[in-house]
Amino acid sequence: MASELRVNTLKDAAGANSVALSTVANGSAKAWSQQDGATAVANDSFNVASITDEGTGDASFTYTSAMNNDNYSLVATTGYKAATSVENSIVREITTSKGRVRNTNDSGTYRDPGVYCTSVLGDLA
Amino acid sequence: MASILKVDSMQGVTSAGDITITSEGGAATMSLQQGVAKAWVNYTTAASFVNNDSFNVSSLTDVGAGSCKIVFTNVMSNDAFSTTGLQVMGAGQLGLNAQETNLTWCISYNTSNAAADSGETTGTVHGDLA
Repeated sequence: MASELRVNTLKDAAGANSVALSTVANGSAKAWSQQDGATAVANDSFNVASITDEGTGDASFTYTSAMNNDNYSLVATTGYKAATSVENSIVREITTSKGRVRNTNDSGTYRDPGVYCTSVLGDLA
Repeated sequence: MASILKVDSMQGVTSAGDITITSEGGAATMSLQQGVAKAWVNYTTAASFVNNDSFNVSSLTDVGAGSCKIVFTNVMSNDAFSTTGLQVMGAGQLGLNAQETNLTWCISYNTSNAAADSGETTGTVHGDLA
């Protein structure tokens, strides 16, 4: 049977390691994904409804549950196209419903990475 | 009324690995387990790699200049997890070389796009633990 617990603070059984539930909620990632750089397919994700290939080195994803505003943190790291390649990730767009990331090689030319890894922290709507 | 819950472990009732929390705006719920970082690390790549602080990281393996395998204490369930990070080296970049269930392999590049030791690197892992 599902149950609901309403508390302000969590502590371990010894009464140490106190953390406010608001910190747990604020500190938790609201979305993350690992998506294929060439096919725009999510290998795995959380709170990601869809992924769109916006072009070469350009991918976006939409959220299942929207963010409260566009003042959140989107971090992206790309890589393993090849062991020696340099991939530069750039956050292109942040809205309440969508995040978009671009990727370039070491010359600044857009190209698809092996994967895009992203994480989102902020306030859900 | 403020309240405090003292426990060592929490599990979901319907599914042990799924505890739901309410969003900040109150319009949605989300999985606590999915939002929690499964590992994080702050390390320095130099002649010897130094783990400055970390969570769920058992060791760092020096694989060459700027190239670091971050080995997990508790492994991931698959290699489709997300590693995001930054490194402190001017306009340098942090790239991913590989991800396996027991490690994530990051390489720091300098401003000339060559793999190089950086002063400090930070990384966070989200995904599914085994």
